[in-house]
Amino acid sequence: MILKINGLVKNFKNESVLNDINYEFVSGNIYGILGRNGSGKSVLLKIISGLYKQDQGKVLFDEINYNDSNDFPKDVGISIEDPSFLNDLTGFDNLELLASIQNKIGKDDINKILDIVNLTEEKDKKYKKYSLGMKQKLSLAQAFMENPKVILLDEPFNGIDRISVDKIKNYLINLKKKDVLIIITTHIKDDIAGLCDVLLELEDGKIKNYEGSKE
Amino acid sequence: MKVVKNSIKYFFKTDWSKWIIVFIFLISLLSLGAYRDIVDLFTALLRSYSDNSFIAFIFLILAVNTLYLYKTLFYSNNYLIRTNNRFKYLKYTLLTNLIISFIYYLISFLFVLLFALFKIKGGIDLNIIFNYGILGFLYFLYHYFKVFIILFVILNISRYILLTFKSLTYVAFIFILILFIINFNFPISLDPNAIYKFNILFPYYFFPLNFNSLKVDATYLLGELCILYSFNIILKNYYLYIKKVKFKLLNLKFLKLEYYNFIKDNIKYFILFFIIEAFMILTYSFLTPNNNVMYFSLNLIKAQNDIFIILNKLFSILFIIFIIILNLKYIYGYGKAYLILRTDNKKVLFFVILSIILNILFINLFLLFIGIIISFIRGLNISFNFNTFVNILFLEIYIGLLINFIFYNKYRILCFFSLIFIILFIISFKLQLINILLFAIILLLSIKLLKIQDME
Ligand SMILES: Nc1ncnc2c1ncn2[C@@H]1O[C@H](COP(=O)(O)OP(=O)(O)OP(=O)(O)O)[C@@H](O)[C@H]1O
Ligand SMILES: [Mg+2]
Repeated sequence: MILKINGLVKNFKNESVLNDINYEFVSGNIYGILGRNGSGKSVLLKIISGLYKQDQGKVLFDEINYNDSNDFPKDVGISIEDPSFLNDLTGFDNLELLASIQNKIGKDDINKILDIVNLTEEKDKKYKKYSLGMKQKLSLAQAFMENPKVILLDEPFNGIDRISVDKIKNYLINLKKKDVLIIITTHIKDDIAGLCDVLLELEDGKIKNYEGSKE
Repeated sequence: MKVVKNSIKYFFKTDWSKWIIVFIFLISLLSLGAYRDIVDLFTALLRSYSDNSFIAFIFLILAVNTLYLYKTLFYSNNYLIRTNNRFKYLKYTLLTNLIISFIYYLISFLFVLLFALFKIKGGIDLNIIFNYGILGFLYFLYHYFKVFIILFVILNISRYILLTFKSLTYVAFIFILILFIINFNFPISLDPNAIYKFNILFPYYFFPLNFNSLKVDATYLLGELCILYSFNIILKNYYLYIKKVKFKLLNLKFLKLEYYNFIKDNIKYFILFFIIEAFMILTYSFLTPNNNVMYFSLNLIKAQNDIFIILNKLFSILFIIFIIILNLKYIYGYGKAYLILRTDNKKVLFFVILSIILNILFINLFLLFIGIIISFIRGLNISFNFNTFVNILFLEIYIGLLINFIFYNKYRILCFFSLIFIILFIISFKLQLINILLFAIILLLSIKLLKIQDME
């Protein structure tokens, strides 16, 4: 599957955030997008997933343009900023509630995914009692759980411990082999250096290959 | 749907949901005040659910709960994106909210029933139940569900306001709705005598109890629902519109040309209207001997029982509707009646709204002019009430914009009926009700439409 971005432009009020982005993401690869705070990484992912609308340009999933209608692209798992789970529910219940929207997976699949992000022990704790890292893990579990074909991760390793990070990275590499398209953003290059097949940089609203990526 | 079931299940696990029940309990205490000197159970229940402050509080609680739901359960991007489609998102969340609200509404009934049984002297008299109670029971049942349905439709309107605008607007909007429900007079007119009583839930003629009053009530309910439902549709489309549809460049030249044609045509109809109106007013002034209070067109509002005046009013309204449809036909080009909320350009939108307002203003000034001339010719005393004039002017503009907003959509028949009901309301002098309702919603819409920005 190919995710094609054509002449994407996005402004907020008078502030230009994305300015003519053109790129073709091909499945079976992990892409890393680097950029300073406020460079528009999160906005880019939100436009790709249909949460924001672009001012100009197109986002094409295998030539299908979801963004101009009221549809969202199918089979996309996202973990973008503020995941907003329900405080009063346990981690597991939160996932189950989300899973019941599409009704594709059952309790076993949820448990499997919780194991992958190393959250099994805390799955019956209420979300409001989660630590920062646990919250982030739950957000990742949520993005992975329905076997999506495209995964968009915004600063995925924030606050997560080394052991879990390695486990999640291995999982991502496995997914890649199953022809999943993965896009990761971060402002810390070391976070994703070994993981990504292609390193990109978002600067001044434009996307380009990261220089010095072949260190 | 599994997600609705699950959402409800998990919602009632939260602390919040329990607090809401406590508040409902407290509010049900309010209803106790309505039980003085009542012996019949159903009458007591009916009183509670006709008590405006009680209903207003119930509504407030449901509204706050809706706000909560949309800020937590339905808030996350993860929820939204999994629905695959914004329509489905609206549908799932609507259903969930409906069921949760209804559960709370049922709970309120349990509390009220409890207090009523406790308070009414002598408990339930079987004799009363048989002689009077069946009708009372039926009426209560009808009234109970009626109140819920109306509250929920209004709640749904407020839901779209919440999704579409900022939370602050939502709060302001809820405030206005509460004012409605507790029968406050929200003065648009500065003349204290011109303020009529209105009541959105129409509970004031449930005494004496008979099926005739039920009939009248049901008719009004239908009308209310039509109007409220049209707002629902407008707001829903507007929400989807600002979320997704983009503007393209506008061909202004073409538009100008069309507008000249339109004005040319309009003048033709104005003259026709002038002749008919003049004829009607002249006939009227000849037919009625002591008409020292002469007013014209829509503004003959005080003399209620005069068929002639009602006909005249109807004629003016139909004419205005006609003008607006004509207007649409022209402005959207080649009679294609473009969908306004899907229109390609905000300038077109601005143009349409402006021209509707101007048209209506012109029509009214025209009528004023005719009225003055005829009064001079006939040597009549003119009584010109500026407030009424302004009120009616606004009303017409709202109607115009309303038609404009709903003209395109697939629920045309419904929209048609709501217009008919608006007209009925006008005839029955519910002017303030309509004005404020339309004012609250359409003003918001048009202001927002004119300066559309990125909403994210
Ligand atoms: N909803 C919004 N309304 C207005 N401006 C916004 C909105 N979202 C983002 N922006 C602006 O767009 C720019 C890019 O924001 P974005 O969140 O994409 O940055 P980022 O690259 O993800 O930064 P960080 O590394 O801090 O996460 C910022 O200047 C921000 O102020
Ligand atoms: Mg970011």
